[in-house]
Amino acid sequence: MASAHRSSTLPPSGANAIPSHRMTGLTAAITALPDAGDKSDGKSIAGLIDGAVRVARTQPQGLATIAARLHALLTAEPRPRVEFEATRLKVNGHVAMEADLERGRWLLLAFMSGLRDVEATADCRVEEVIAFAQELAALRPNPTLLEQFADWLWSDGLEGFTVGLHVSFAEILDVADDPERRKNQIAALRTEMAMALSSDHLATVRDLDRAALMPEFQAPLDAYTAALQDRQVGLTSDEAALLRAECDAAAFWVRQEIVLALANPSLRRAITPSAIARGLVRVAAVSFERDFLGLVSMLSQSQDSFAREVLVALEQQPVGMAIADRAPLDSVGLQRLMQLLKGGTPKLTEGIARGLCERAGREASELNPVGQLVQAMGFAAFVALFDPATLSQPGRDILTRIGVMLRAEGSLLAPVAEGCSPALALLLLPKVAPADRAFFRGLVERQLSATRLRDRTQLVATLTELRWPDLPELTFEAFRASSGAGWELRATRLMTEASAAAGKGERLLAMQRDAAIPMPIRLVLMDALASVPSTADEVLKRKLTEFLEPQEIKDKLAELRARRQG
Amino acid sequence: MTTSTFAAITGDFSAQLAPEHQAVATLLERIFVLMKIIGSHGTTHPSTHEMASAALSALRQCKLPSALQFVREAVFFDRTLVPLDIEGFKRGQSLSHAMNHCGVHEVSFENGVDETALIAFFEVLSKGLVGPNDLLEQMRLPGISWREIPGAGWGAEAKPIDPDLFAVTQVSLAVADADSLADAFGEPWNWAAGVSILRRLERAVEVDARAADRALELVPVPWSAGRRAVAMAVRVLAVERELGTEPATARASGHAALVLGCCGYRVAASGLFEEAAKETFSRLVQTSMASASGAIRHRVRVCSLIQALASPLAAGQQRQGAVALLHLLYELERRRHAEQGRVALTVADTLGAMMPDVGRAYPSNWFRALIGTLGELPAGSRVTLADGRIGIVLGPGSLPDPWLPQVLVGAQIVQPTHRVRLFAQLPGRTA
Repeated sequence: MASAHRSSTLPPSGANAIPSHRMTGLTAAITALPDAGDKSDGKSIAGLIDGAVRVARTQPQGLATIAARLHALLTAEPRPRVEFEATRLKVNGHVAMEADLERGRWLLLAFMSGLRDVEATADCRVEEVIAFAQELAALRPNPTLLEQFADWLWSDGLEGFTVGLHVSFAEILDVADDPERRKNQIAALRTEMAMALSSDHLATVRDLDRAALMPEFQAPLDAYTAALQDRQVGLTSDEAALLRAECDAAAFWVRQEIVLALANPSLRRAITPSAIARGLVRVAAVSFERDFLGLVSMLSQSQDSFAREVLVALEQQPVGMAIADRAPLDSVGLQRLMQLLKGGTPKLTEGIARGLCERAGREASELNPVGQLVQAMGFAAFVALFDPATLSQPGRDILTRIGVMLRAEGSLLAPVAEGCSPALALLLLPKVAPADRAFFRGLVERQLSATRLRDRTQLVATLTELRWPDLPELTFEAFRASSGAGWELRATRLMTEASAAAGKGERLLAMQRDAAIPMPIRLVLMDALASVPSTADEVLKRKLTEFLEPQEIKDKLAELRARRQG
Repeated sequence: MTTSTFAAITGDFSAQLAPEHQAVATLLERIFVLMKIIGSHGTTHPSTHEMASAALSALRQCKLPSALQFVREAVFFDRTLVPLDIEGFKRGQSLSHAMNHCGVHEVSFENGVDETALIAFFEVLSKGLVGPNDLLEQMRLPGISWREIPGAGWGAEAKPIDPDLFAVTQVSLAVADADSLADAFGEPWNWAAGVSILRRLERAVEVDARAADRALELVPVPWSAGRRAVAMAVRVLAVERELGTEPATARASGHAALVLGCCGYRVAASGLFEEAAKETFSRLVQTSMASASGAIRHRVRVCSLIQALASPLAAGQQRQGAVALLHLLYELERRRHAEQGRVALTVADTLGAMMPDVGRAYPSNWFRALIGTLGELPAGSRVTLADGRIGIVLGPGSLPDPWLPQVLVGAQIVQPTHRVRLFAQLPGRTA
């Protein structure tokens, strides 16, 4: 709809056609922009920011589409730093966009407001990217609006980003304001203060009389001096850290916001349930038992619909992951986690279980405590809490290791291990009991089809040593599926030998003649099949088509025939 | 597509400038072109005279007398920021660069200005485009005057600003603005004005927290609610900066201090703290917490803090965190000047008077954190030197001993070599 409507407003293509980036509306903005998957991410980011600002001005309903793409780039690790200059935009220190007659006109206004750089935080949401674009789009060359934008940035209006803010242009004059005049003021001040000390200029008698009655004046000054000498002044670093933690405590702020919203329905436009839910996740991460449970309990007991909305919003948040990320993994911490895993809601336990695996995947030192917890709970019970397929590679590897350590049953371990790394697969497979090997067919198939050359060769060698059941079938299928591409010579030979040993070498005969198979692989196939009695005759048989084969094949056949005769 | 639609998409703002800004933008364009023409064609070329005439006409469109300030990267007209489009900004940069090289940041035009004077002035500026010169030092022109603003240079020409001067500027402007807010008693809280004050104070504390405190003690402004609110805010920012709290926390605490001071001291000069906090809260919730794009967390945080301050304490409960600090600072300012009149206690006086309540009404850690930030002899303390002279503490001295501070004696700054003693201003007090 949108594009059809727009095309009717555009002039026909030709000398006077407006370039695509000057088209109005959503389609133009999107089509003019580079793909989020573009390798030149800096330029993509700059293009998407500019596009988002334009769309926010003209077709706000389409902003979400661009914002989602921009969000993906801004939150991709390592997260890029976007710098705002007066007439250009930089990403990670490289110029990504120069303002011209059509693009980036808003840059100067943002710069005048004091905006210098932004970097998305790990928990940045698409809605926050949208809010940023909307505020940029609202900028106009008006000192009041520029100051409002500066105030918005200063007031944490731009959530989900770390913001570098400089003095705004309107404030520059204040900062540099006329030092000569101020110097004179200070000189006058000094004189005035000196005058105030002389007896003629002390306070009037009436003022003094009144002041003398103030309770504060009853305290002798030397008591202050003595008290200072008795007490330690200033704080130790531990005390300072405690006070700092008191001030920054997420639990305090979230509790106050909940109380504020519950008591003042008029403020609920500003204090949204999802914002409070996100705050609760932060609390859960640092103080689950002491504060988080108390706050959730407070919300549960409230009859207010707002409290229920917060609880619903909380269900959408990764609370379990946050707990798993920050919970201490000492004996007490493990005990508490165990209780939560046994008694928590499915959503919570799923998050905790997955979060623990991810955490151990990131920090090798956490393998043991997490392993202890899984052991205490039982591997079967632990993996039943969540879908291990959703784990990242390191998280899945850790859970696989734990399963191996705990000698988990093959039927439980195999689905977990299915996506594990090649190195881990090589460690794991020799430990699998012969009776359980059938469970790991999926793992072997996956490894054979997806791993690097060296890994695959090692895997085939290991499986050969282990006399893995179905090895000829597994390796042959993987080989056929890839037409030999990406197979090392040793792996090819092992695969051929396995097939031949299983009496199934004939199925490779056609492949050793197949011109689509890479030449070195064909040569190895010929060599291997020629050494097996059941296939040797067929390989060495003279055929008319032999004359059409490349010289390497002719040479190889000659060599193999000579070897047989010799 | 219409021009205005295209302008809306690309953000071509030149068409959206207010008429007064448009006039200044035109003036800037013409004087820029004049400077460039003189550089390329000389002062006698007809084009030069034509452009000087156009510039003069643009000047007269703006009201005269008036002045242009080129401060760092910004251009001001009669000290009001001129919003520019990108082309105007680039022209402003060139003019600013040339003026910087001539040691000038402000140029004033009066009614008597004529073409000859304009051409002579911009001839010097055109040379300034190439490199530094001092040709304006001895020059006098009818209708045009100029001066340097030392803190206005940028790039290689930037000069550091004296922290004392900076602090006095920021604090005195903040007090004036805070007084206006306090005077608007009963009206919804003006968030934008509050943030503007906080940003000013934040800068002052960042440059030199002690200088900000000193400025606050020594600036001869009335002992108003605004002044006391600013004092609270400066100290909150200084203490939290020292502790290293998150910027969002420090800003919310600072703003809460400002609004509490502006409202609280108006309603309850010697009344209950909770009463002041309740009144403040009711003023805050009359205003919007959201901008066009959604909630502004800072406002919500400030409200949260004030609400926490207004909540009565349970028996045996102590205030914690920023709430404890705000309560301590509110009481400090209240007790310094509980009665009307000219006499106010010094900070040292008041801290001494509050000491018996430390550990009960005021958490000991927060009290010590405050003294740690202010110093044992806070700025403004009256002291006696070993030789009997009396002075006012300006701040820490060059020696590490806090009882050897920098002291103002008469109009002279003294660094004592022997420890000073607190001076009792009132008869009958022990010192």
